[in-house]
Amino acid sequence: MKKAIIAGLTAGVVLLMLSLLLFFLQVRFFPKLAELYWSDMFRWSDASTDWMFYMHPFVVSFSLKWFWERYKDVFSGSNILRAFEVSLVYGVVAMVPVLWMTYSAMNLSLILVLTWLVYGILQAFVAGIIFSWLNP
Amino acid sequence: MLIFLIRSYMKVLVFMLSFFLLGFQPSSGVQTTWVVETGSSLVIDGSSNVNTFSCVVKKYLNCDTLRMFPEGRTRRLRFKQCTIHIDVGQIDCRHRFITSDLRKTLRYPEIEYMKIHFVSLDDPFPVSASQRIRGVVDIELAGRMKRIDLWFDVSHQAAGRLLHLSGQKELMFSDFKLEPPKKMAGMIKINEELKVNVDLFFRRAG
Repeated sequence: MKKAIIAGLTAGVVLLMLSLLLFFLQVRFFPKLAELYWSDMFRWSDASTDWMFYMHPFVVSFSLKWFWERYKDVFSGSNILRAFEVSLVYGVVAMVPVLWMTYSAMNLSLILVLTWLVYGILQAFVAGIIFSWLNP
Repeated sequence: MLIFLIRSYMKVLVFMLSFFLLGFQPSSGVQTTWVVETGSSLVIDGSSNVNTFSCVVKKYLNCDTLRMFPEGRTRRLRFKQCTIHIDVGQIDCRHRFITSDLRKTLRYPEIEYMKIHFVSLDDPFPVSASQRIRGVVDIELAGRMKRIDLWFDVSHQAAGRLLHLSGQKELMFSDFKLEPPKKMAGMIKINEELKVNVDLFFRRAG
């Protein structure tokens, strides 16, 4: 249990740093893409909900940790290969259906939604590497 | 005796008529009234961490007038009835969401107008054409007021009956205790600094 919490927290911190880095790179190198966030679809930054935004890497990491503990025996091979498989499964099973619905229901740019898919798969890949390293 | 009285009366009458008909430069000690002309504009340049934007206001709903009084022996003019009302709903940043976020930041529609109260102005008839003059204005934004010095480039036409004042000033959202719009938990944000460019055309009334 203790190991699971440490792995979840470690992955959460790394994913948080990853999200900040990716956002920084997006603003720096793809400002037109970042500009798409100036939309009424996105709420104003506010202390009452900002904390939720910064907690999302921990929600992802603990969800993936649960998934990892349950199904890690299914994934074989090197740490990177196992992490890659986990990220694909997460992308296909969790991200694609939700983003499909999001795009169909909300007035969002397709490219923005696709970046979320890539971002989600990348998050799962990084979390997979940490889990396969800490709790193989 | 009667002829002498009539002559004296005529002299006074001619003097008074010339006083009103010929007009006076503002620094001559007499109140002058100026009407804000169409074509006056306010441009607010700003930036976010992802782009820059330029917001324009071209429509002054109230046809405001400025009444100038010379202040003592100085060449400065004080204003009396002197507020320009700018409809915040007319601000257009040519970017739908930045426009709506900026209006929301300025508490529109709760507070409908941004107001520029003219307090004083150096004599707008400088000796040289390139001379700049200092104006003192109170800017009222989102219900908060700030007094600022604004330097204007002046030009006048039609024998001083048309006046063009052009000035710019850097302001901060925090000057008015406003917080710039932010999205994505502050990852996308409008920067604090705004550059306000004012172009005012006045026509001398009367």
